[in-house]
Amino acid sequence: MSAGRGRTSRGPGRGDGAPPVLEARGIVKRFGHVEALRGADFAVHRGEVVALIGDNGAGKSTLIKVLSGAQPQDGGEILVDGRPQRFGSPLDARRAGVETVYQDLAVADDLSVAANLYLGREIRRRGLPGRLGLLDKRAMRRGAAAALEQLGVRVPRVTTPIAMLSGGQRQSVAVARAVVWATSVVILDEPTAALGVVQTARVLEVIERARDAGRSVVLVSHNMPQVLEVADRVEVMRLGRRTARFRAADVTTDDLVAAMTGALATEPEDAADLH
Amino acid sequence: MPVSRSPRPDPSATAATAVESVTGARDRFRESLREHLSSAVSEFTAATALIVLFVALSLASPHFLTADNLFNIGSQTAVIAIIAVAQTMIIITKGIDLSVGAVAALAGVVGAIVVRDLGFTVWEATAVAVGVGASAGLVNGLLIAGARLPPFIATLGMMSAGRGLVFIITGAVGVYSLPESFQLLGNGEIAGVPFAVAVTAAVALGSAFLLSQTRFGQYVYAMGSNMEAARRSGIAVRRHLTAVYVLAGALVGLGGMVAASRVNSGQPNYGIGLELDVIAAAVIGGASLFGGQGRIAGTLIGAFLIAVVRNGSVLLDISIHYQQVIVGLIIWAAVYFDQFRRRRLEARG
Amino acid sequence: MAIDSRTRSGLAVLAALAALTAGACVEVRDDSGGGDGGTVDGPLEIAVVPKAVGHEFWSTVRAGAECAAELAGDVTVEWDGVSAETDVEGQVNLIQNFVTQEVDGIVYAATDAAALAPATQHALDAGVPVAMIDSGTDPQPDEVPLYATDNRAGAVEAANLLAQALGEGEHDVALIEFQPGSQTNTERVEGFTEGLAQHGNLNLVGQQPSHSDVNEARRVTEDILTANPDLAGIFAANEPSVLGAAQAVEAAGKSGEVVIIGWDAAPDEIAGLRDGQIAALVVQNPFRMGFFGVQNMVEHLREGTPMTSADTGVTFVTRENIDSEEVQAVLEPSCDNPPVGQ
Repeated sequence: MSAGRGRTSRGPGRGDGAPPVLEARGIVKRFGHVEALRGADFAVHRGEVVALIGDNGAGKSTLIKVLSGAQPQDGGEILVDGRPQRFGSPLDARRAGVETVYQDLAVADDLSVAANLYLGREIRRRGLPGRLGLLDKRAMRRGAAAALEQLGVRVPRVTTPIAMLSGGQRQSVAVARAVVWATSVVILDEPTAALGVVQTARVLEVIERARDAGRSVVLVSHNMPQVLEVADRVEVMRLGRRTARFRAADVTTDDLVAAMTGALATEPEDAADLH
Repeated sequence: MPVSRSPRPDPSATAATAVESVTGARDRFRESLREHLSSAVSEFTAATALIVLFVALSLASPHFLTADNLFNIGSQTAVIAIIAVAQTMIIITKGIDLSVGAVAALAGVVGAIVVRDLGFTVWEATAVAVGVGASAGLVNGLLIAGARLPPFIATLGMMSAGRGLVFIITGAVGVYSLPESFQLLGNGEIAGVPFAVAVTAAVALGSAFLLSQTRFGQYVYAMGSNMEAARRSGIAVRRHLTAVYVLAGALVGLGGMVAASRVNSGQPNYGIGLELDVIAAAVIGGASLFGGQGRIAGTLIGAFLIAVVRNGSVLLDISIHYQQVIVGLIIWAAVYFDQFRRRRLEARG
Repeated sequence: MAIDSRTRSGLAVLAALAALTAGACVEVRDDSGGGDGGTVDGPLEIAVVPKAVGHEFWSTVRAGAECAAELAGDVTVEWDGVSAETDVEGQVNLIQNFVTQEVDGIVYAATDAAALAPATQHALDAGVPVAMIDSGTDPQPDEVPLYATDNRAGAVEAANLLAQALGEGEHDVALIEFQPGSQTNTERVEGFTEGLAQHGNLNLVGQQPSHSDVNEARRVTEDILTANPDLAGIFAANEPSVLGAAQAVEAAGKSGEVVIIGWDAAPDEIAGLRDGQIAALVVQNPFRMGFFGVQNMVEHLREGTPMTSADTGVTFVTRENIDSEEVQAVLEPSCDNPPVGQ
């Protein structure tokens, strides 16, 4: 299933006919007079890793914020499993199964690994003590250890404060936390931007395991070789809208750069108006 | 529950982890030891200083290590300890409360007035004082969590407004002529233990439990550690932050009432400069003004350290000026160790 | 305290701005003759500023000031003060504000002799006459009188009272001072130690400050009692110090055993005296300070009489003389029978 090198056939990557697990249609977002998103589209299917790329100011971050509920859109719609949803807050997005890992804001440094994994969703004891807010720390430690092992995240102990972990471990925990709680989509905003080679490899491994476990992953990244290594598909944004879609297997880094700079496009100019 | 929803186990990953766990068992033990030591290092330092001081004073003064003196130190530490516990909770959230002295005075004079003029019992008056403190805390909390004023500014305002209110309702004159029973809270005893010490112990145990064992406590640390992460984790940050200030205010009100009861009067000038003492106690005990760190045990040690320095200085008839220098040196040393520990952690990260 | 003074310095800026904007008006006043020689007709507004609000002592000063104002007729007392005696800068600002407000005269007690001297001069330069009560400034201009207790003489007498109460033999005694560094405190401490020097059988074994805080006074007294089980007497140099010391002695079960000589006459101090917890009180006449301050200021403003300093005196109150008419007039001053007879 390949069109000419550099250009994919129109349509989603997985031809199983199911609606995308998360889809954005014609999203418009204005900041004052500036239109950051001008009818942006985006789609991710179940079990695929989609990289979202674009030059600085192309609208990636804004689109991510809309998809994660951090900033409600001014126009267009978001669909989860084909059904329109309104994301008024990050909580709405999370309820719909969309978890987001932000670059620096992901974890509470002074809390343990286990506490971070369960932050905001603590397991409480049974019965009255639980209703009074008592934590079941042992259950959380066990759950955290099991989840991290399954994702291949290695930390000294789940009771270690995050502050004592390396940057890669810290980010792996943040990613693991999103993966564990996401029922459908994990959005990662530049998860490896601040990491070294070995640490990056670990985070990418976690991403692949998440996909193998049936999650969909949206990866925002500037690192083209990394994108091609880990992503199934790539969607390119330019000037506030989607301008190109590729299967990762079919393209080179040069193609991606060409698409980012506008030299290459797969989407019709009026794509936004079709919806 | 992540366990039920967690991804499929991957055999290769399990194998890899297993291999690592064999080679890393000793490392992990060392890691865990270091981790425990480092989290308790401030408390350890302060506790060591306290023990050294205890031994030194026992040698220097025959009166130091006596039941009467220990009883006195306990009572003398009670108020500062109760209020330092409140301050610790706030410091953990990366906040600060400058209004504790004024609010303690307000609660104390109101508690004294309701006894004198309305015939309340000392226990009813204590409830009123706690309510006064909680109300002041609510105002602080709403200004900080709701109106987004920096804690320093919000509580600076409360420090001034609260003190003004004290002078307005007392006419700037102490509240005297209280019945003997007013002293129960501050001067009574249960089974040979000063009542004030029992109250302090209850406050400390309750607060330590709240901070370490409950979801609320977890959120206190989470908010102080990374407010934005807490918010994005779905924690109702405003509500919880306000609740911290209300709870702290209630404890400050209780402390103010114990102080008033101890001197059998409502003193409008009580607690000027108290905020600095309790911040010092919390910081000496390992609370970090950068938020996210601090434990009740450490704060208690800090409060006792300050109290023992003062007690020992009077026993040896050392001038007040030297006492202040000593407390200053202790603050420097404690914070230096705190920074030292943090730097080492960062170097490892 | 550091934070407190930071707030104050903010206020100082505001006060300075206010003073600047009102500067022109102040200069006009000079012509109206509020200063030397001239007299003022009509209603008078006199600012009376204590060292700090919040103690019985200053409330009595206020009563005396208001009594004098009432008797003189058509005089308003503007009463305002800082909340802690240590807030010297706050008091400087307060005095400046009253000058800016163009009050007719200022009667005040300096929290710090040196620091307030320029404030007094500033008021005089602006044509506002000043009278000091309780504590003066250094230097103090000739035209500014001081109506105050001779603290030193009172404290010497306190030492004599203590010696008298303890009698023959060696005795350990302690001193609870209040605000190290303040002039009144220094005078009482020096007076007491001077007095002790005349009684070789009294040994000063402890000296600690209360910072005018009852809790603090109680704490240091408890510790002094612990360190000196044979302590026989205490001189506590102001109201909060006396109350805290008496409570500590009572808590140690040594009421009556340890002789307390106190200073001032708050209701709880009087109660302690009647109960036998306190042997004697050195009682100043704050009513007379307030009364003399305002009375002389009014005469000066209306008739041009120069103001001259006067000792407002002390009364030694014991269980025996407390109910005498003379002592009661000092303890329960009222404007019906003002304790101001010379």
